[in-house]
Amino acid sequence: MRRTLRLLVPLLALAGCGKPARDAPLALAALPGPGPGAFSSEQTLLQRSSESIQPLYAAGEDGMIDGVGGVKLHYHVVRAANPRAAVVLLPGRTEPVAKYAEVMADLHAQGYSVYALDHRGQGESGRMLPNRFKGYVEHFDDYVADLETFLDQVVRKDAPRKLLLLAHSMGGGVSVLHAAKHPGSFDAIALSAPMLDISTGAFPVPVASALSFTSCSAGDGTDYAVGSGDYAKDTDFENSSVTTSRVRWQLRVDLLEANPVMQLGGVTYRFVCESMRAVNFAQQSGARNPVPTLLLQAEADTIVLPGAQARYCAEAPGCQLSVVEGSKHEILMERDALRNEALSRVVKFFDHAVAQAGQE
Amino acid sequence: MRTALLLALLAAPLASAEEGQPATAEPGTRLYAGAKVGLVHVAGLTAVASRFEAGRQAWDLDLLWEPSAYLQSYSVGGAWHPLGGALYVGPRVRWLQFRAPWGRSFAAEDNHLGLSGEVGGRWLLGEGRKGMLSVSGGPTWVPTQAGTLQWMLGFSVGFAWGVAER
Repeated sequence: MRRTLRLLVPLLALAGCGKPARDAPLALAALPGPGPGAFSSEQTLLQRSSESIQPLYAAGEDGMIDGVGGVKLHYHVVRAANPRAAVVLLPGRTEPVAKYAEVMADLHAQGYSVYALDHRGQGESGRMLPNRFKGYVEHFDDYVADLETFLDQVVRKDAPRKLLLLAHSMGGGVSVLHAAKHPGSFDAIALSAPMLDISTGAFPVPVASALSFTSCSAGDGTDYAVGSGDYAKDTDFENSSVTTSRVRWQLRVDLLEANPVMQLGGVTYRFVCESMRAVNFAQQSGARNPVPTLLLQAEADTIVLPGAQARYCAEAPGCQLSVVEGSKHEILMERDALRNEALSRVVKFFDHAVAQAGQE
Repeated sequence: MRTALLLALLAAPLASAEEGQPATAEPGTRLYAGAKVGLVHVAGLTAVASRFEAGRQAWDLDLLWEPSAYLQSYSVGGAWHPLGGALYVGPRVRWLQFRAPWGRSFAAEDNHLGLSGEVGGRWLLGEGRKGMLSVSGGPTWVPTQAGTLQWMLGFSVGFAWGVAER
């Protein structure tokens, strides 16, 4: 019997049974969490925006730090009086952190301080090219290094009891690379439609990669990718690929129109090349993220590809995949039924992580 | 004019096959050295060993370095000339690097295996047919998880000169 076991152990290890044990998925629905009406609603959003959300945002702290190469990085902090934990918020590509004022207010109401960072080259952060509309990054790793700088120079100085991360889309891609490089920086990570593989839209993948890599190889990749251009006001809600909430879509349009400094256009070839390289790294990095992670997947996403998210979550020992049925890409900017359900899962997940960390 | 030139080049291997030329002009093996331009890899340096049988192009083995700070490739390619002329098909095994080792941000994960299928022509030109004009294209499969990297289309034009033969 012992001999049989001695033979079986290495075989089982080879078969993958030697992987780190996975925790049982958290039954989020069964956990206590924010009740009905805990989050803002579309019906009263415009009124609430002017009466409480924007004043709370304006009362927060705005600041600038130096990122890689001296690029100025804008951040915004909304502190709770006696915070349960600090939530670092990373937006997606093109999104200024100011767009997340509503999310910040909702998290603040749940007792969390929020530290939001504008990625380099977008929002109120510095640009790397003379044409400020161009979506460009020299090295995708710079986003990761910038996040670490933000943690060091701003967030950790407040000595939060617990540190959590909420990231959307490209911010999610940055987050998983950061988690692989600096494991244990956060007590829990929530990812909303993370960019772990990108859709090339109407262009077949081989054509898109041929165009991008040729441009990056032959020059500096600073030209707009085919089909991209300067910022243009979004006027087509009906065909929006990111949300089904008209009021949240309109708030975003109004924010960008009122703040030209936050406007961003399409992507450059260099950004595409760097993103292709980054998502490949990101997909290989699941096993290096031991932190409890909630991955919200938008069921109707056409911007990032869901297959890669599922694969990442299968590899990351602490990852839990949670599909938001009917949601387009921007889950946290969706209509109430979808957004509030997703936000409820995030808050329950964070509450649980804070409670768990407190017991250790 | 360009169309006519292209047609003439394409017809050349068929014509040479029909005429059964050249009977004894070629050595058994000739080594060519040259350069190429194209996409996805913009430029490359190559060495091609061509094997002739009964004076006709039969087999090639080449080494190709396509240097770039962004997506460079080291590769070994094989080619079979089924008609005994310029046209060939063959496989290519690549060692791809997203970032050159001398560039910032190079990481071990930047190294990828790539498998290419190639179709093209290698036309022998000039005195003693020592010049070699090549045109080739084909897909490369990179067995990565990221869908956007799995397939790439490439195309190149090159010229090489015979530097040794036996």
